[in-house]
Amino acid sequence: MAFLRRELPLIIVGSMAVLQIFEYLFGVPILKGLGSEMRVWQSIIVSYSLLMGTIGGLRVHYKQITRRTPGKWLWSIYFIAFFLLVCAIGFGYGTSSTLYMWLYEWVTTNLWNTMVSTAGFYILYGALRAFRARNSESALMLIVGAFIILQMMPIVKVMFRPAYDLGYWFLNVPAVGAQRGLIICAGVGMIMLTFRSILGYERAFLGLKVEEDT
Amino acid sequence: MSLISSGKAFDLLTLVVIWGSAAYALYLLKKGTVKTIKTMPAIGGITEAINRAVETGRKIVFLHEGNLASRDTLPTMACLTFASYVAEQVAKVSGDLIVSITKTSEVIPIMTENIKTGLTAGGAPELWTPDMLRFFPKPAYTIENVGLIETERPGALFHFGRWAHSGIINSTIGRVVGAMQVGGTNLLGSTSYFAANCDYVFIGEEYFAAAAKLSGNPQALNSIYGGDLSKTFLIAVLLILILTISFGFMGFLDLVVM
Repeated sequence: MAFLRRELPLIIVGSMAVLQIFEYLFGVPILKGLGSEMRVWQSIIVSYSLLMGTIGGLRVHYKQITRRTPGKWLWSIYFIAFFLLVCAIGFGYGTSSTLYMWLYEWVTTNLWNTMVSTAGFYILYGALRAFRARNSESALMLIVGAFIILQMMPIVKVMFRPAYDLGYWFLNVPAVGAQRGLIICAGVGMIMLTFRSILGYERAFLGLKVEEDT
Repeated sequence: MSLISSGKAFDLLTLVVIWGSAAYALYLLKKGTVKTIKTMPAIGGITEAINRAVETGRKIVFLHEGNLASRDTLPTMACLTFASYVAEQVAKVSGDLIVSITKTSEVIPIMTENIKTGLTAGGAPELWTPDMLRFFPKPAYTIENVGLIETERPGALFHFGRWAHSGIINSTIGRVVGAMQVGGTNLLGSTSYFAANCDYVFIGEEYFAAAAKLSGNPQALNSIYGGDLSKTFLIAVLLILILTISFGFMGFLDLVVM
């Protein structure tokens, strides 16, 4: 039983990780075939796990309805009703039907786009909080941030070119250099995590702590 | 036909160097040398946020974004360590924890195991209930997280995983409800969002280093040291490239992209 819970998952993870890495690095046809087959298996497993997530979500909303949780139970009824409606349309008319695609394109997609588009306003709110000259470093960030925002305005490029050039330089020279340094360091950290996973030293995805390994 | 794919030779060399550094670090471990990682304030911030939430009678919400596919895998695996640590700290103070899993559902059983393990390690396995985990699929997970934060009004809010645009939205709402926030992600753009709104943030490799430190795994700690060693190789390559290209010699660049 311990082998099924501990060693077997580690063997699977390690071997699949090595397969994916070798497929990327080496131009061997059999590796390409194995890698693409593995990705098909992954899609199938994810589909099954989606069922588990759906059941869990429905259970939470069902409990809110039965307990009449204030402020939530009406929305839970709405959620379950819409869920059943979409399932009925999908099973009855097919997921390629006009009605199902209309629900996806004109309801779901638009709601998603609305949510994503509000991110701009949240960024502005965060910037208003962050750009405060509390000390020398934050004052410097405020000045640099102001020039970067100015260079994005076409009228500044026309009327006051030095501000545009300075903002452009801030954005494309020191900022890019710092970003790439952080990206490289984070990338090395991820490669180390991969190395530990392949060798079986990383056990977080098994839910095991270090003491359980000994 | 070449064995190594076109343009991947330097990738292979870099991988060999980085893994070689890790192997050397593990060799040092076998010799009895356990490396340590510096104290990160954000790790103490996790405990501080949980204690503050329990003192004010508010809940603790742990938000995760990402899945176990492609580029989300490694940040998600690091997030699992944070989840286990948060659960352990919550168990010690008998807090009320809610964990949000977004995008895809394959993380659910793994996160469940980590939360249970953390609660057990904290001495309160009885705190676990299935309702502790909330799954929010694409594409509604952003607004569902917003709804979760606004209805539960947590005292402590954690953002870990591979956060994209929703990081700024969730952290801003967390700021509005008055939660103490700790954030960590590998994406640089999202790190800036968390830096603006969170009380503590893990920047860049701190995210993975903190996960290694919290796991308590000596192999993980030594592998971070191995990563630092491999960065000297990368810095050397960059310096050589800068000097050779500055003086008009492109041979080394051609070698790198071979």
